[in-house]
Amino acid sequence: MYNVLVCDDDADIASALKIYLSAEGYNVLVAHDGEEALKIIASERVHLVIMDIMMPKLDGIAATVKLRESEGITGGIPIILLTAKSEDTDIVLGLNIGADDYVTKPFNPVELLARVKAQLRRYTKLGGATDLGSKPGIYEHKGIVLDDGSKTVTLDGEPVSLTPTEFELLKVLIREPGRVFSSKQLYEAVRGEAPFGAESAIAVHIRHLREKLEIDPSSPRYIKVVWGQGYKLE
Amino acid sequence: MNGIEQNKKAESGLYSFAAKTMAVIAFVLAATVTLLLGITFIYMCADGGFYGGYASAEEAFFSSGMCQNRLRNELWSIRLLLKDNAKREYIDAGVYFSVISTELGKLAAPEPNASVRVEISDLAGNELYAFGEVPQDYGASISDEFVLEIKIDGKPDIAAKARIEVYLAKLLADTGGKFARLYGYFGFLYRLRHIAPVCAALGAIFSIVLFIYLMKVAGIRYGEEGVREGVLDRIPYDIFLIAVFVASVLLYDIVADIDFGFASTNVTSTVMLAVTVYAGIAAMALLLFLALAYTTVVRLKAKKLLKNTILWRLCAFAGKVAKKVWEWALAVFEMLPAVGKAALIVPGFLFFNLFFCLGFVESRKDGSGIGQFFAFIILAALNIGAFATLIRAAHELVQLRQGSGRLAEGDLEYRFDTTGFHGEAKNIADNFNRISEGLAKAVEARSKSERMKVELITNVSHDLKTPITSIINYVDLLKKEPMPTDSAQKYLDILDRQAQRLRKLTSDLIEASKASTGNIDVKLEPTDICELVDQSAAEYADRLATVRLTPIIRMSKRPIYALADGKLLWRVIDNLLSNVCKYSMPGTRVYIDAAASGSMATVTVRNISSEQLGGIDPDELTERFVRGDSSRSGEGSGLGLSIAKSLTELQGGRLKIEIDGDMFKATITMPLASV
Repeated sequence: MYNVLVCDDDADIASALKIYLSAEGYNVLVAHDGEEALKIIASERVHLVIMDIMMPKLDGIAATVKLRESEGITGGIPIILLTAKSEDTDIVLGLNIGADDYVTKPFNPVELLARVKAQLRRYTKLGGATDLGSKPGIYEHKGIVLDDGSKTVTLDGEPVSLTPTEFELLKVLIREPGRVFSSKQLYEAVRGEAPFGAESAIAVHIRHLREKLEIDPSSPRYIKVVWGQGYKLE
Repeated sequence: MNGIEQNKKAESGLYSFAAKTMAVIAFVLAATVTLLLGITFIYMCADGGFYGGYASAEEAFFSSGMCQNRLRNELWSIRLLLKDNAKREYIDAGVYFSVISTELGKLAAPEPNASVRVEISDLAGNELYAFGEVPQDYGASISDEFVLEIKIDGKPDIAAKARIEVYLAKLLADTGGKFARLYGYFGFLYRLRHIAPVCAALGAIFSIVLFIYLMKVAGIRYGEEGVREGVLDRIPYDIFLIAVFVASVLLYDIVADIDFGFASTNVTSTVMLAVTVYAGIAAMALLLFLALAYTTVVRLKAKKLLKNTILWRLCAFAGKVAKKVWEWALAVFEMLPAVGKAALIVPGFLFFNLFFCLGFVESRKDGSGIGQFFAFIILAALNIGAFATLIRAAHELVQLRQGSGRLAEGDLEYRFDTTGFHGEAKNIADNFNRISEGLAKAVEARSKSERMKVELITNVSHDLKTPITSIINYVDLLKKEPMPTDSAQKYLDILDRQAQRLRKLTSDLIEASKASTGNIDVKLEPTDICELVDQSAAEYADRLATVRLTPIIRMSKRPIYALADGKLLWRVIDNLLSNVCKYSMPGTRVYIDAAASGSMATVTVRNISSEQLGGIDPDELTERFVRGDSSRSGEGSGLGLSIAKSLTELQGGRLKIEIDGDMFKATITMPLASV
């Protein structure tokens, strides 16, 4: 049973979150500002924090910074920022100061719950996959583990079933994270032949791959679309 | 003498009116005494009778120039008498001698202290005539010898030797007469011979000290600040100088004309009268001098020496009149229209040119070359000046053209430096400056209000998000609860749909406001639009399938690189395809083309609308809050096309909407990247 701290100055949203999270079987603690949140974290064992940014007394950004500065086990608690600020710069700022994920209001409850689950999985199983990367044929990136030998893929330890084409695509991408591959390059790598105009099929495969790996395929965290250029794993 | 304390309050009693008045009186007194005594002392030194260490005043008098000169005068008048009378013709010498005896008797009678002895002898030394006695005892004497020719009627003249002796009695009787009076003066002065130089020196020092003091305090009043001018200082300086000059001339005339001989037989009273009169005149002269010095110093201190003169005022007045006339002429000239000016200037210039040309030609005849030289100089100056003016005007015109060109291109920061402009060009430049200022202000105000509008929309949208979140979440929770009736379930579905719509509206609103004001970072780079279309089609494959639309994608096999921001261009196509899904007639085909033509890359999306499109202005569709279908109950916000258009334009492209019957055609045109 995980303790999840919900911190939002809007009581209705906080209680809605509590209902959703309780239904999933989490023990929910509620705070209404940053100071209260830090107090609860100091006194209780909290496994995950969902935090609003615009709050009285201590805002979400400042609270996140304080939490990351603190020593010991509390310093590594996963934090999901939940806010009405949806500008790219706001998201970058939130992630840079130490938040693990960022969800904008109005949010989709299903998506939020999936993200909470993913973060908890990462947090509680942290360190278990660190030595995998050294084995031949096994590639690891941000919780995605691809084993070329057994042809299996796991995401945060949960198995994901992929078609052979999707598996080959992911293998090409995970071998060089950050590199942008055009559809043509991906086609050639996967099929071993020139596409002759058939590369548009790659885009569809990528989308299916994203739908399997991503919590929200429209704002992907792993397989990113570089519009007009190609795709990359980030 | 310009006091350092000029701008300070004069606190010392030395500046008081009483002190100044006393100083003036003291100065006039001291200077008068000094002047008189000084003149007296100089006279004494020159006269010789005063400082010879004589036993008595009379002895000193006899050796003085005063006395000797008088005696010589007597001698000369007798000599003149003898000579003049000798020129007349006589029957014999006896007649001449009797005539001169009578004359000499007349001459000697009123002078009791002097006696005269005249001897006339022939050239051999035989005495012919003698007059008067040689006194036993005398104080001073003077004698003269000369040849006298006595004219005798009808016979040769008699050449004779004449000797005149004038004796002054040893003890002078105060019985009137020239010498007694002279001795009276002398005695008076003689008594002063020791005290005069001392008093004159002391008086001079005292006077100088007083004078310096007066000059220092001139114009400064007790208890007041700065230089104050008195009544005297307000008189124009040139008038004052003339008055002083006239007064000096009058005083000089009085001194020159004065004669005390008639005043009184009493010597002492005559001397006292003379001293008093001279002292008075000297005092007046000194007062005049002091007034002149004083007012000059005050004027210098007030820096109005030249300003407060009639001459200055006349000059100033003349200057003012000249300036007025010049200004008036200038104003009249300014009022003339440019054509009128040209009509004045051009013939004027030609006239002067012709005039001096003729002058040049004419002056050749006089041969000296000076007239020719001046005519040439004037001619050269006139033409160089005209040429320079033309060049300047041309330069100003060029500047005006360039500056106004920059203004026309929208450079509202540009201002003319009007110091380099003249006349009409300056007016035009000033007007341009005012236009650009006004425009800059208007643009500034407009962009400011635009910014505020965007900020407002963004803030309001953010504030809307919190309640929308609650609504969506609780509707979602409610959907999980069992509904009492079917109607309740139907209402809940409506709530859900409208809540989702509200959510879409707010996010579109933010995006639209940002896109329309350019409040978005644009990163232009070569982007393969074929790849982009592929990616977009893949994203929409499922959605298109659900509404039974078949995408037909036609494009070149080779990449087409456009200069665009891939992310923004995706959002444009995203909006277009989203519209396609919403408004296309199910079961039809959607044509997506990508091609390069000329220097532009185009992406075309065509579909058949499920609603009637005919009669709708395509431009209206891209305006904010306008939708192609008149029913607003759909899921769209009405902002999609507007956002797409704004985003395309931000990247330097164009979005064109065309309607042909029920066919909807959107064309994105982007510049090709020059790879």
